[in-house]
Amino acid sequence: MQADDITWNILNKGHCSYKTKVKVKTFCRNEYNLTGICNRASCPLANSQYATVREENGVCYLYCKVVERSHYPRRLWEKTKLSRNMATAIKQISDQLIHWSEFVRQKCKARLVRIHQYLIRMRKMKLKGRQQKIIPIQTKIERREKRREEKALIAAKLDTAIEKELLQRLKQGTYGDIYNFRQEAFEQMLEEGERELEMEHELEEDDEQTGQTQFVADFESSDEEGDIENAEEHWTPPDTDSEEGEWEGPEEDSDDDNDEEMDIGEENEMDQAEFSGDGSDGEEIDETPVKKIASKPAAKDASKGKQKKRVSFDLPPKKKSTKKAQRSRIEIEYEQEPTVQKQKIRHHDF
Amino acid sequence: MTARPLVTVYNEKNEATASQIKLPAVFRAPIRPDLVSFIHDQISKNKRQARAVSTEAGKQSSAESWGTGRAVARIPRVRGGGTHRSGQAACGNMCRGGHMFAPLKVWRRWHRRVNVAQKRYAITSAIAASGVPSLVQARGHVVDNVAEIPFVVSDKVEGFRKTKEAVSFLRRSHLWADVEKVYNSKRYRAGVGKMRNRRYKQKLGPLIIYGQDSAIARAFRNIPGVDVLNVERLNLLKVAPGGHLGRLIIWTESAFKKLDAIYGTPSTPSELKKGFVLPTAKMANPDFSRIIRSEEVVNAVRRARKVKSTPKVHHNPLKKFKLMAALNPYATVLRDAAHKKQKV
Repeated sequence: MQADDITWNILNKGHCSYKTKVKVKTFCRNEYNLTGICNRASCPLANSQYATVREENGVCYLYCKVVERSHYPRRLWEKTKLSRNMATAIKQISDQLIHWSEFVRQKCKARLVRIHQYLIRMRKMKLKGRQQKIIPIQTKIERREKRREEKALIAAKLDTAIEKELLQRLKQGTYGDIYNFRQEAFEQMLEEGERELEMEHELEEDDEQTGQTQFVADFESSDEEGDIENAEEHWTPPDTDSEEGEWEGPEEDSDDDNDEEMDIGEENEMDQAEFSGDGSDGEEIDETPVKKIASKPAAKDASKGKQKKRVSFDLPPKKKSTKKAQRSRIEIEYEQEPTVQKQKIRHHDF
Repeated sequence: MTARPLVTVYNEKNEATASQIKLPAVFRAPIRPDLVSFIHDQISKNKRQARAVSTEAGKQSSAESWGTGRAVARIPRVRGGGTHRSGQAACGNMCRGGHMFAPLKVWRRWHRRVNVAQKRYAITSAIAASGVPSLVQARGHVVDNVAEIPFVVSDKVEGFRKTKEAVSFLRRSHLWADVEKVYNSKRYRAGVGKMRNRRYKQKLGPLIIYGQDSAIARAFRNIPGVDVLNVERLNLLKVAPGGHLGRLIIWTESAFKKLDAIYGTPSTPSELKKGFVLPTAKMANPDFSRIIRSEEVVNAVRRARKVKSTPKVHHNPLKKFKLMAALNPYATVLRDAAHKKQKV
């Protein structure tokens, strides 16, 4: 049994899916609602006899529903087209809704007037030619996308990619000889290349010193250093009999990762090479020198400290030669002065 | 409205067939949202499974209180030494690693018994509410283009074996919008239920009630939101889900015809439910506002009495002479005498 009062009681006190509560007011989201407010008189569900005015594409229609059709939702609403002229439209409403409740009649007319008003305004606004359409920003989405962009930027590792690309180009020789690079950076680059070549060249070349016997001092703490051949990557602990507590920083002269077994003599030689190479071409990126600068003073002390104890082993000479060979490939020749080891003064141009 | 209208039966292509069925009396049952809500609450508790906390939880340490005199609280503390745990408080609901307050027990009363008559009342109420289009709409179903409510379909639908047939039937009958609503509403559940096999939530669609056992359930069961029930075994939890009235119900012809037999009419008791008669409403005509404004009532009722509620204003007799005279008649004499004296 359908009774409006019962329906209203259920909708009002219970649950209605069109009901929207704001702090002070309850609204009705039903599209046939006259006023938009959730009211006993305005509820299209709780009133068997009801009417609305709605606008579609600029044309106003009057929608009526009566009790007789209440069980047939498909043909519930009777739609009559209202005239374009507001005055005649109002008269039409009065005629159609004669003997209906005052509230409905009144609100229909008011709604019609309002619709006409906003239609006029819409037309005016279009003439003004307002191109911009205001779109609301969805903060949740904005926040999410921003964070994702940051992550993508980090994941892309642009700096390293650019560095690799430029180095590659340099190796290829696309730049020719036009650039002046900082010496240290260039050296680093060379070291990187050397490391690759060292693997190949170690067993190949025979030195002048092979076959010759050399008399060496006692190994005091040689275990750590002499045994490990390819210890470029590993940090070896410093000599225990050198100044106690004095920790020598990682030996510089190229990368920090480079082998620290290097002889002082070798170091000096390298410096000499660097020094001489300063004036000549040294093409390198500026990034790597930063590391070198920092480690140089430490190495300086280290070298001085070590000069007392260090003895030349078999291993380093090989490296000398490979380096020489390597260097020659890059069109830079260095003089080799092994005898002048200890006298060498380091010049550092920064 | 005791006269019972005729409901048209539609075929599976949504064309009105010639047959019309008299509306079953169930649809005239009083609609009681309060009762339905209460019964739904009770019945929904019956499917619960016991859960509890272990009986030894939090009590499995041999802790003993250190007593007084040690400048610590008197709560039991863990014995022994050599670990962080020693000397820590144990065995209290306030302690870390202690038992909870009022540990849950399996002998909690999980189920509720409901009177049979009440259960039957609730179901009839829910069925009646499903026949009111406003309530169905208010519950949230999309019924803008449905031909008729209550919606009765020919028995051909019971013969469906394929979901494809079921879907095309729903589309033709303009009920697919309700199913689409279900599709659009699928979302993650908020909370821990996600990892307890209750990951998704979605709305409910139409309910199909059939009269004869057939393969109809298999045709419709894979469509999200759609439920299928036999008319002889109706489930309040499906007819009024959440305790809310007005689920969209699609009846097959045989089911619709059976309703009169199952629930009876005001004149004939039910055949299948022993001793059950359809409930009657407290008010035959519930349109209260219409009644009190009707001619008969207005004429029979006496005039409303106007309540004289003029508040008595108390004036000051010393300032208002008339009041003084009313209180003390001799005041007039005194005043006249005073006037005479002045004149002389």
